[in-house]
Amino acid sequence: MKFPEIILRTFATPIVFVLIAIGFHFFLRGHNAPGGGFIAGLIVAVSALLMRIAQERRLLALSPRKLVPVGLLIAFLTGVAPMLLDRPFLTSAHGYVELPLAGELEWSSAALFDLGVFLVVIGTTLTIINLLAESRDEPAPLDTEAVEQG
Amino acid sequence: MLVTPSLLLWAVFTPFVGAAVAPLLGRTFKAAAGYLLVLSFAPALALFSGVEGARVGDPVSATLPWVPAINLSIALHADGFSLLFALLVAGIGVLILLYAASYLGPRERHGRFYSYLLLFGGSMLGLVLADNLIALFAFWELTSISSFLLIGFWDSRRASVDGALKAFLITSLGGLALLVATILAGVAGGSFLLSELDVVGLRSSPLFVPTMTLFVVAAFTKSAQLPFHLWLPTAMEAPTPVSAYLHSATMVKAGVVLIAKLGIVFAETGFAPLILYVGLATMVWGAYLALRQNDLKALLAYSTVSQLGILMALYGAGDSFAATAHLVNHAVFKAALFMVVGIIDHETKSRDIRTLSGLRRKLPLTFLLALPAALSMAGLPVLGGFISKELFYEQMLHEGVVPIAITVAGSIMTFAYSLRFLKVFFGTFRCDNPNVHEAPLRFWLPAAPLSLATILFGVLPLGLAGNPLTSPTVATWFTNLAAPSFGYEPKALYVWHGASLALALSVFTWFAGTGLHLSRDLFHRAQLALTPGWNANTVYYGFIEGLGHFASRFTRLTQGAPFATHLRLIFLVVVLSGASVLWRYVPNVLTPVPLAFWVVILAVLTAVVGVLRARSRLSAIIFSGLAGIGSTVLFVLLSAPDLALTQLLIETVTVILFLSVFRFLPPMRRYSRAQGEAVADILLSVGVTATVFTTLVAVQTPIAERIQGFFLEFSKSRGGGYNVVNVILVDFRGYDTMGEIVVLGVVAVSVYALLKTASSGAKPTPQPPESAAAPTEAAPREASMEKPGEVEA
Repeated sequence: MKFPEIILRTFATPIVFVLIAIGFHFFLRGHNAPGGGFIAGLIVAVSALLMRIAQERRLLALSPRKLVPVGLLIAFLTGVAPMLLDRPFLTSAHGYVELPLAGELEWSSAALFDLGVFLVVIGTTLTIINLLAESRDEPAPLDTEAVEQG
Repeated sequence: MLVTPSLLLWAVFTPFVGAAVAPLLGRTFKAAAGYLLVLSFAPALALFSGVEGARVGDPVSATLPWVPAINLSIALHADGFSLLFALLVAGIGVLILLYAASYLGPRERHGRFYSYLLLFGGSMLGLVLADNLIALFAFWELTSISSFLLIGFWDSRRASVDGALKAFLITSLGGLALLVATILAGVAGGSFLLSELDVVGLRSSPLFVPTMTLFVVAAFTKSAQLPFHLWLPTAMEAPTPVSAYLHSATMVKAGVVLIAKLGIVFAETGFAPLILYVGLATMVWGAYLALRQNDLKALLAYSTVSQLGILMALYGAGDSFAATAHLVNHAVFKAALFMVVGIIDHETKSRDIRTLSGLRRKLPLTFLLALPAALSMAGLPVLGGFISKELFYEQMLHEGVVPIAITVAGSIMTFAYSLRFLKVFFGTFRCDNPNVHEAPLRFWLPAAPLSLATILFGVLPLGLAGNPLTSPTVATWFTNLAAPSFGYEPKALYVWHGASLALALSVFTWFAGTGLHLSRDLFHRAQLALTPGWNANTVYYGFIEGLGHFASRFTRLTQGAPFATHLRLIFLVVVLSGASVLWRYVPNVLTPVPLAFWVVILAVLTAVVGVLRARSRLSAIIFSGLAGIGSTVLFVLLSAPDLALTQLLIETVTVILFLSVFRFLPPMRRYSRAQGEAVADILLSVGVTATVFTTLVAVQTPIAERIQGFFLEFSKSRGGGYNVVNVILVDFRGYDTMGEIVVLGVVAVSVYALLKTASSGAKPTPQPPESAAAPTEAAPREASMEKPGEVEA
């Protein structure tokens, strides 16, 4: 997939950076404004795809399918953690911490769970699309007979 | 120190922790990780401090809430029998780990091996200590899964994969039976706790027979009783430490444990003789088949089938005293014998009885380990196996003429195959590999305590004082530990228990067994002549093959239709099911739709028509994208920014997806329809539209109180966020999201597997080099296991 379009190739990098920044912004603000792990995951996945299409480069050094188990593990452990404190699975906690210089910061255990969602979404989307884009040999031919009949 | 509830929980869960860290340790320490992982069984061994409490009938219980909402917990109960068994699992587990550290070659996947092994040990500990039937079921299934992983550990070999699959299919059949039996017992017995089960109520309930039948099926599959015995011999494809563990203290004993724990439920019903006779049949059949094996490991595998038959028969007959004594004896000598076979295999590269002899000269220490263990299996005095075999004879003499006749016949063959096992050590030295050395100390040392125990159980007097022949032996001590669990009076075990009919029969057994061993050639020819054309294995493989044929025919039958036909069928079902509900209740709530919506709806409709009329696939994709953007706008108008954002991104990803598969699609063509088809399709479309519309309208009328209020009210105070949608996703309905991301992960894995196999489907799968994966395994097995059906017959 070589794209001769010089504009796309030149601007892909800054666009991707902005997209990723937006993605993280959406992820972080998700609890209080539109956004969240799912949406942010899709934004980052799309920006990785843009990078791929425009410059034939990978945004992530590691293979995206490894993000799936990591994400699932993070989400699961977030669920298990409260059990150690005798609370039911997936009980959430949130509160505020006073940070020097930065001031008051809100934290929430649900954000950690959301991080799991975020990673699984990126992993799944990129795994599937990368695989489809990479498979060089033709997959088994579709049942043309059935198509004609239909 | 006394056993506390928390120690009980740690005993079960520490091996799972060990299983989690094993891959890391395996990477650093290779095979030696086994020495460190021994610590995983430390809490279970510490349960030893609870034996005095258990002896006087004061067991410890522990409860860990599992799903408090439905009052489900992991209840553990360390009564004498459970405690004894847990100590056996942990003790043999430790020795197996030490042994495996020497057995595994440098190129094995150590971390994975230890991880599976500890998972297996932990599951078995959970199983024997579980009081809650549902927890017992969960641990039961965990042993099935972990044994599947262990048997198929050398996954580049067909025989291993076949053995793993067979074990898994048969034991999960039993698992399903156990699940249903558990539910029935819980309903009829009023409690899921074994200790609180209403035995009288359960026995008088009409559900008693189905419940107990299913329990028995579960126990028989797991403990390899006829006719489910066939998985156990092929399970010997596992690495030998696994076999030693699986055949002695874990897995196959699970069924026996289940029957033992349910003894009070089925006593004096028709199930007692059923279990007794199936046990006896398994005992004699297993011994008969063990006699025809030429592979040392296969001989032991069938011997296990036979010995499990003895245990089943004894627990079935209600003689828990003799059964418990034999259970411990068998675990000890069988683990020792498997370890011996592993050493022979490792040093000589062969396990074939026909090509090995005189190993005593080259492997003198191994011989010393094998001798007492094999003779204990044979039931010779003064070893532990003799004592429990005598108890077995005495009980069967009570049961009648037929049971004792079967017992003696089986024991004669047991004696003969034990001698055959020992034969490889005697005679002139013969081995295909001339360069045989005694195994290193660290390799045979783990087997030494077990081998020593077979002697001590027979001759070591209780309290270490007194005449070894006339005082009760140490075996008395642990056998009576189970007395409060089964309610029998503590009795003493003696090597010399006076002249009796049982002893006379034993003497007869030794002579007849020796005679059988000496005339083995004749017997072997008779066995060959009597071999039927079918057996449990041919039935199993026939069934598996038939299932495959059925599945592909069924698939061709139902999935062969053109795509359009499938769509028509799906839509027809939508219309019919929708209509069948809606004709009884016609919804009448219609909210007026603002003008802005109509504009968007019109645009979406136009896009849909565009999809239908598009002449190229690219324009169809663009039109469907437009329809998607239209719905995004609708979400914005309905003030659902989260949904709108998601929809927009999904549209983007979908277009990219379309583009990546674009080149694989055949050229687009117009579908021609017959006149009648066109009319039917139009009617169907109208029907689907009407159904969807009325359904959407119908859900406007709430059938229960709406819960938006709750979410809006508590989003900030309990969830800590103002974005209610997100708080619902990650907090209030976090469980749903958890499930959804698991589904996402499964999809990613499935697509990966599908595409990877589709693109490499034409090429033959490369076989990893056998020798690299398993340096210890010799050729004869490959030859003998090529046609798994032949092993038995």
